[in-house]
Amino acid sequence: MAKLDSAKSFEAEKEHAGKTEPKLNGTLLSVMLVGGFIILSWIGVYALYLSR
Amino acid sequence: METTLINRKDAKLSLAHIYVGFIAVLLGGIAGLLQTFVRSGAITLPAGIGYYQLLTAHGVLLALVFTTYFIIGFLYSGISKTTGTLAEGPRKLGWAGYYVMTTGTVITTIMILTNDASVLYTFYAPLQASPWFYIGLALVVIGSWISGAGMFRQYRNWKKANPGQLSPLFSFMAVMTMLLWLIATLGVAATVVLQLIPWSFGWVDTINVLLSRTLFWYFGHPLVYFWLLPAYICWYVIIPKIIGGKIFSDSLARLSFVLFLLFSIPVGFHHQLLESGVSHTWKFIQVTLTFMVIVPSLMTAFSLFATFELSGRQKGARGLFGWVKKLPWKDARFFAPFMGMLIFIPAGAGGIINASNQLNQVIHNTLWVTGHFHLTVATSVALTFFGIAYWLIPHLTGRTLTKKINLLANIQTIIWVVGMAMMSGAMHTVGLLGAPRRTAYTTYGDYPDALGWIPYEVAMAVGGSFLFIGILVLIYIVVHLSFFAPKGVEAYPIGEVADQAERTPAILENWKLWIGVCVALILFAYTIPIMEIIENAPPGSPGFRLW
Amino acid sequence: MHMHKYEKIWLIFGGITLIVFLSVIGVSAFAMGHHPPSDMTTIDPEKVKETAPFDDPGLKKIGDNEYEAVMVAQAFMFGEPLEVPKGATVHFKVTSADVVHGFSIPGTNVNMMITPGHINTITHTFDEAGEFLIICNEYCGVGHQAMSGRIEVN
Repeated sequence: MAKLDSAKSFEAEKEHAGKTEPKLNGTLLSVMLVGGFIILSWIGVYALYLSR
Repeated sequence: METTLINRKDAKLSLAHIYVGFIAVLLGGIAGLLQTFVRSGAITLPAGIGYYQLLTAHGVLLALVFTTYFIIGFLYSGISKTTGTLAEGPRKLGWAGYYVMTTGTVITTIMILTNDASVLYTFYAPLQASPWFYIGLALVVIGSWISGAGMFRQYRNWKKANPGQLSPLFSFMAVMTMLLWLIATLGVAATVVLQLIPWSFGWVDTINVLLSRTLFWYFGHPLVYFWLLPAYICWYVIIPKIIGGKIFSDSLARLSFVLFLLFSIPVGFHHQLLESGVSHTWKFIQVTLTFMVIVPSLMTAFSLFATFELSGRQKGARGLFGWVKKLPWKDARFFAPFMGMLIFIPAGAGGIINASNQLNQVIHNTLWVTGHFHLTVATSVALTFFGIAYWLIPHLTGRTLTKKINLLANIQTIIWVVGMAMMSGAMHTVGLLGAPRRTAYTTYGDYPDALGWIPYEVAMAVGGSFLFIGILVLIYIVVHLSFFAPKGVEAYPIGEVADQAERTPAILENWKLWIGVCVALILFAYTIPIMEIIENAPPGSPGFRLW
Repeated sequence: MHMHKYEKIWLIFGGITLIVFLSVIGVSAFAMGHHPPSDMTTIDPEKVKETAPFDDPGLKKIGDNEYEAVMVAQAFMFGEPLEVPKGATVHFKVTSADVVHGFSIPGTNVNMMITPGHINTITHTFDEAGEFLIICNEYCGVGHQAMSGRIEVN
């Protein structure tokens, strides 16, 4: 019973959250820039490793 | 609620910890300044003080004493704030822990000052310090366990009084931090108590060096997460309130802390990638586990940006980056931790490189590593702690953060960032050229490459001078907020969860489950390698005092 | 647990990046043999100078332009300078007679820990002529900053 309830409320929440999913375009771009920085620095040191 | 001062007795306990922490910053900072001058050849030390003696003092005072004291002081205050005034038992445990830790700190410091322990803060055997150095360190660890037990008890009391309820986010995170610390310090306690103390007293003749190093690094990596998690508490719980926003998601915040507990411990071999006696396979397994611990930091990055963007949009910001302008840049309580977050981007990128198996050969034991942890602990964590101190100290002393001091705190942050950019930037660059860390002034007989490192070492000294000025400004602020700022009520900012965030699943607070998984991962990552280390052990090493 | 769509995108992107990193270093290590140094051989740290091959340290030719350099690291030296021809592949075999030392040749990938009781090995091909510096990059005592050796590549 408790399980059913929590499943139900989970669905409800999902629906609720889906409708009001906030606008986070700046966040996505920001974290992607962070990711790009991580990838570039890693490749840089890997290149240094290969060249030595 | 946020303007209510926490219980005065609890405030006293927190303040006692925070004061010891900042005294350590001042002393450790003086040692650091002198080191950069010696390393660049600008001065030689007078009166028989050794470079490596200073380096030991710098590491112990800043990486161990400042962090541990500040963290325990901060966590106790937040627990008192969010779960209510400490019960008699937890508060007594807090004080008992404080006195045990302080006894240990004093003993250790004396051993360093008398030059009986110039073994650096990692104290690798078979360099052998006075047994009292190790006993002092053991007392610091045991004291912190007692303090942790106090926090656990207060948390359990709250859970009992509020059955079925989700604990306050701050208290959950504080308990997670101390739990991580407890499990991690078992390793260092084992090598100190079972190996180093009997050996330094001469009760046994030799020591298993590789076992000692492995136990040390079992502790050494979660140690950095013990520093980082309280900074994350500030970023997740405190900052949203300061910027007038909401906590993006309570459940994702808790999930990230669970992941830190699980994956920050079974990863110590990534500090031992270049040493004998550990097989390729086990090194790579721990490298893979290390990569798992990156995931919660990626989650944190998203949550923080989202908190900023949501609160900015609520205040009417438009466009992709309009929210940036809505952040309270002039508020030192935000600005200092924010610069810490920003610096965590290069710091984290460097960390991924360090842990990348054979890439470690490019940077291991070079100044790059020193540059790396001066970004992580000495900037991301330190600036966040300073930012906490700016409101926490006046909250605890019943004073206020005035506009003037707020401005000075912002200047302090800028000095710190500029100084660190110079010092750490130079360290990273010269490290890639191969300059070793933990090394006094040397040109290796005027070897051309080594001469080429000197300009970078001068840049390190210039950056170090900025940082020292930053420390003096910081100490002025701390003293002012403690004893001279106008009386009043400074808020204790505790964020609230965003309306659209969903209810937190109870499984995230299932301690038995997470401790079980954590222990299972540790056993998986360490059992076979440690058995191999013991079974294939060479004859042990006698102690050496080479300073 | 609900997660914002963008956070899912970010975590999938981050996860794939980490998997790519791991695959690159994993393949390079396990398929191409570029492991970080991990020798499993042990030695009695108090009898280094009576134990072969460290009873006779130095450079030994073991093949066509291929050498084995047997070295004992001890406070605060690495032994006599070495001399090898350009293009030589050198297998360094090093142990410690006292405390933990580092063994690094700046400008190359030669970088390893020398722990007493253990032997560590690493191989490097010297494609360029010149003088190379070996330095200890792990704190080993008061003379640590002086601990270095030389390799002459002609």
